[in-house]
Amino acid sequence: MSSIFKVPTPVKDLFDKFPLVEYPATQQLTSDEKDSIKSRTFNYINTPSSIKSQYSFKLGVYNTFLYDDNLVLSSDPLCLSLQISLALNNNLKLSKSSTDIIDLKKNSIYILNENATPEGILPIYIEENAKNNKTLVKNYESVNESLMLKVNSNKELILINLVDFIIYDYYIISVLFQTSKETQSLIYQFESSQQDKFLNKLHLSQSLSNLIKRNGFTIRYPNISTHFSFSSKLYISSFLQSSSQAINHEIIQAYESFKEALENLFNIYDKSGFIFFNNNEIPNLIDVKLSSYILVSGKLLKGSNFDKEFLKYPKLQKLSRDVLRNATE
Amino acid sequence: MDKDEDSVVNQVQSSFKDEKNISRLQELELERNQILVNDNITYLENLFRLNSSKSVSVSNVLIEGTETFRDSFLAKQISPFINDSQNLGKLLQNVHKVNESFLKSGGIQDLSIQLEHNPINTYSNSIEVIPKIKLLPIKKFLAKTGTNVGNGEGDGYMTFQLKNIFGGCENLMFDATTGTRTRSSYLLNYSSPWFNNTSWKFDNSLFLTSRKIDWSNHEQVIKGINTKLISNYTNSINHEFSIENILRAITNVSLNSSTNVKFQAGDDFKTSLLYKFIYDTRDDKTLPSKGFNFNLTNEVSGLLANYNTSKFLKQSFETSIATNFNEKAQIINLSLRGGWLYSFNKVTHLMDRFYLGGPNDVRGFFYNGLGPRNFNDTLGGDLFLSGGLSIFQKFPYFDESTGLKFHYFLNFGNLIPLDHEESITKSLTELITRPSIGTGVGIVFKHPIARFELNFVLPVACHENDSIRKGLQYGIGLSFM
Repeated sequence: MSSIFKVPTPVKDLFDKFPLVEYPATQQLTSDEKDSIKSRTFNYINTPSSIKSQYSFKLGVYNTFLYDDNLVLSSDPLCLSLQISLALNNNLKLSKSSTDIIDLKKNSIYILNENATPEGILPIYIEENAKNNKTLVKNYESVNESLMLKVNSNKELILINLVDFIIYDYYIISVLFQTSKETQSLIYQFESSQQDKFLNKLHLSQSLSNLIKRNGFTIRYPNISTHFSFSSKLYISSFLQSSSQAINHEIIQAYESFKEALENLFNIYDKSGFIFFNNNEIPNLIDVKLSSYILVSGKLLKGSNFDKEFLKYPKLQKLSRDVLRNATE
Repeated sequence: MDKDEDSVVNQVQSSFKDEKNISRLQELELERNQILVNDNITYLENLFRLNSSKSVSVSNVLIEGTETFRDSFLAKQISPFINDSQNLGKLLQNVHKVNESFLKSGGIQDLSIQLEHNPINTYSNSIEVIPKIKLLPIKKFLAKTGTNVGNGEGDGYMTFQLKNIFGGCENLMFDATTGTRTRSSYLLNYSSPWFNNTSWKFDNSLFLTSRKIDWSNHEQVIKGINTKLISNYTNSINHEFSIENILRAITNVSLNSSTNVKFQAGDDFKTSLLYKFIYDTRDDKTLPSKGFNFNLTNEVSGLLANYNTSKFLKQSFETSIATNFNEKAQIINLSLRGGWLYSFNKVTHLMDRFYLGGPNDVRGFFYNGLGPRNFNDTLGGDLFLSGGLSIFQKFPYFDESTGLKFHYFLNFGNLIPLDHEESITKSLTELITRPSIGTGVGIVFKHPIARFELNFVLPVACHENDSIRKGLQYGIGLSFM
């Protein structure tokens, strides 16, 4: 049925001819912009068994550090665990700083500011479909959930929760209270020029206050969280960090739980003869998660209680190296 | 109808006739008065012209309503009377000057200047004149709240103003706004005449703004201090010097945003020196019928080399010419805008780049819909050129005073990034040879506060990624191309 609101066909045909001229799309990136992005991008290395797909992914992380043999690792344990897991799941090898040619279309990790996400939290997973130019973006919770779905053992799930909450919580407390501002900045901020130092200093308290919102830390440690949210709003460093009794209580409680969890984990691994969890030949999610904390603390949190506790278990240190070997060789 | 009723009708009719006669009489009386006033003006003008070289002396100036002003401020405003009124011609020029100077200060609601002859004249060859000034100062405190709706945005605001704080027209203003796009905006502004000279304004602002950028899927937080020196001459040339320190952040980037925007996320600090030159002879700013306008803005950023993360040179110009035919029955407006941004640290910041497209510049395209784009994000460009031709015509059956007009327009524009590795000739060629073009017709309504347009638009030429608009497009604003 024709409607008076319907545009007559001849008129529609005429208007459809517009625009009469169409030029190619305007260039999006200048060569300088491409260089800037490349300087913050590290490609995974493909192997003959790498899964070939129309999809490519990027993992946005806070910062990176160089491990032995020029290996580029994420400076934050949650980012690192995803970085390694993605490599293992896709038969890729971890990136090396010596890679000369960076291909922006390849699977890679790149350094982003935490403000690149709505929650102000990294990591962020971006999957691009080369065929239809569509992008799928997931935050840490969403990717972690996908990885957890692949875990078949209930025992492993329980241990993953132990790592994700107890060990994570004390890691965050160590970063907030037992590391220098330089180290905090090294883990959670990217510095490309001398001028960035000034801005990073100004922004550090804001970065830390965003960090405590991650992985439910705020709910478990309300006093520490309130303190850091308040100091970031005033742009002051947390100079009253351990003044409150409530905060001290939370720190001690987290430390005791961490020690206990670590001991339990060690005992479980020790009983199994100390290959990967469940005596698998390739690392499981629990192995990757636990190793990420060990690798980061051994390199960036040296001298902290967090690192000292891990050093008590040399066999766990070996586990982290084995996980890494699986993702690089 | 009986006789009584007839007589009543007649009485009413006759009373209307009388009213008509009275109003005609009043009109004649007004015309007579106007003629008398004009005659007097002509007589006085002739008298003043003939006696313009007549020697005059001003030894005193009387001012009423001075309670809220300090002496140094008043002395500066009346100085033309004291220092430069040797003859009648100059004295009359100075009446205009002093009147203008007081009004420009912003501290006066109204004033009157009367020239009185001093009967005790001690000089034989000159007339002793005493200018008498009556000032009506503005109210000291003003508080205002309200809402603004328009351009797909709505916000509520609260403004407090303290005027003439130290008796020299110093104003302090605090403004707080929140809305659908502007999450929050706070502004503290202090302005005053520059050393009592009302032709120059010294203006300082402290601001904090957080704003959603829909066309690029992120939020911009801007904190800064701005110091300006602005000229306020009534002739056509004016200047504006400013220095600003801005700490800004691209934050809250949407998950669906492009990689380009994600990589720009984070903080940035710039210190800029700006100079703006304004030449404006237009008879109206929103819909001029004659005159010429030229603006040139220059910005140098990176003055604090060790702290500034943005270092660049930015220049933009805007020029327009307006002319009319058949006593403003047809008006033609021609305009041209352009600009370039050259970054010393290679990548330009999203907030410094130029943006183009929309109902106020290149019609036939969405707001900021031209130039580099990735997915739905407008990325802005470093080099742009745009222009337009608009022909306005009287709206049939509507009086000129309604402010309604018809118009036909043709706009063009191109916005590109400036690649340092490519030759400038190549960039300029691309800029000039591939413009996006929009055309259409519409209705314009000129209101004292803004110009409103409702147009039917068609994009004639575009780039593959331009965000085009076909059909109806409306625009509200002060400045149109």
